[in-house]
Amino acid sequence: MTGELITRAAQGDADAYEQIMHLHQEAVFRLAYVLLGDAQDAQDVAQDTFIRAYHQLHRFDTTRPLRPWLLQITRNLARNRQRATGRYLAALQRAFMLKPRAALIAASAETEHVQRGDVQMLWEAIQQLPTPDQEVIYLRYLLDLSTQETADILEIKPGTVKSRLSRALDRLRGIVQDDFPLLMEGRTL
Amino acid sequence: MSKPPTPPPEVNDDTWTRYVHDMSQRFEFPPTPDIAGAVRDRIEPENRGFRPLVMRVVQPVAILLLVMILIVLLVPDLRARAFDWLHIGAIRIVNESPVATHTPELEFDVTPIGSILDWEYEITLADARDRVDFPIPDVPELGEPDAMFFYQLEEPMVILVWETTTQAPISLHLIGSANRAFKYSAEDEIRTEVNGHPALWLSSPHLYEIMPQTDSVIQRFVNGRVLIWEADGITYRLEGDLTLAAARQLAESIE
Repeated sequence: MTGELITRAAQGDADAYEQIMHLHQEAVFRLAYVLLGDAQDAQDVAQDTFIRAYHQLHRFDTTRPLRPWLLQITRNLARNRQRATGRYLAALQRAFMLKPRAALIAASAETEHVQRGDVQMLWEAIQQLPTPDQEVIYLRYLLDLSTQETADILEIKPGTVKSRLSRALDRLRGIVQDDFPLLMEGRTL
Repeated sequence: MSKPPTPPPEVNDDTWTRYVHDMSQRFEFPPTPDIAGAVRDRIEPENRGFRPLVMRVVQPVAILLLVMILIVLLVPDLRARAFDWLHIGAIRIVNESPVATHTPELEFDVTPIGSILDWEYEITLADARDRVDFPIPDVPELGEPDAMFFYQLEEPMVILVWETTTQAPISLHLIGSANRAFKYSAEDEIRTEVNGHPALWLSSPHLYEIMPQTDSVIQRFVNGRVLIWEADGITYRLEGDLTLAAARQLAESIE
């Protein structure tokens, strides 16, 4: 079905391409948002992603899954955007530092307060990781992508995703233990 | 006094992984905007009239054609050949044999020889014969030329000039190639013959274009009457205040 849509879209069928976009726009937007930390920037990059994909669709191998390819374009565009402005890391930090506060689903004000603080501290810990470690955590956990999809997006082997994620989590735990002991006091563990 | 940090409890890998995962899942994204609609608005103009597949084919071809046209227009030799092939104002001698039957009676200003060619490289008949490998003909009706000019184009070119007392000078251009000079005329030319060789008679103002090099061109606006023909690989160009009949008679007398 998707392959047929892609074929039709590659032949200029705007309706088919719109269906494809509806299937994937949320993932594309969310990845852009996580990487850029700004909804407007994320929307711009998401649109650019679909424009670029549209122009390259005739070269896409329809036997492959589309989403990782789209997200790979998204990641590259977001990275280019941030490199151009020198704000890549700052945006990664902003995305995780500012937005999770609104994202916390709290059963009570007290719980919300506690969890907001946890997310804040966790992010502060994550931001101390090398960028590749941050990215693998964002893709695997924030976007809940599979190992294979993450591998496709990062252009590394699935085994490397697992080892990188494991290493990132180890490093994160060490950072939390050293610098964020309150997070380890068992509030949510 | 603040309470000192409590040493973190030991957590195993699974617990820690689950904790990070669970906390990440609490991340709330802003609502996804209508990206599909916005993108469609952007790509639809591209599709209007032409499908991308068509554009992918047409666009490179159009670019290639444009580049080729530019190259042709920039290179004088190619440009002249293209004009000639397209029959856009280019006149060349062809192997047809219609014989003109009349000469338009036109009033015109005879072009002074100096405006035909500004070159001042005057030589003698003996020098000319040394410099070119084609014969410098005699023109019994006119006698010895009063002046001779030589110019080295891609092929050598010799101009013989006869001064006249009542008319403008008569000149005979000899170009060592059959296809190095082109003429562009806004008026109709007359096809005729010189000793059986196809010829053209131009009796109206026209552009005389010579290509000394492949990357340059000399153009002269000629407001005179010219008979041009090709024989044995040589282009002959006879100019003067002559009628077609007189020009043909003169041309056919060349030995």
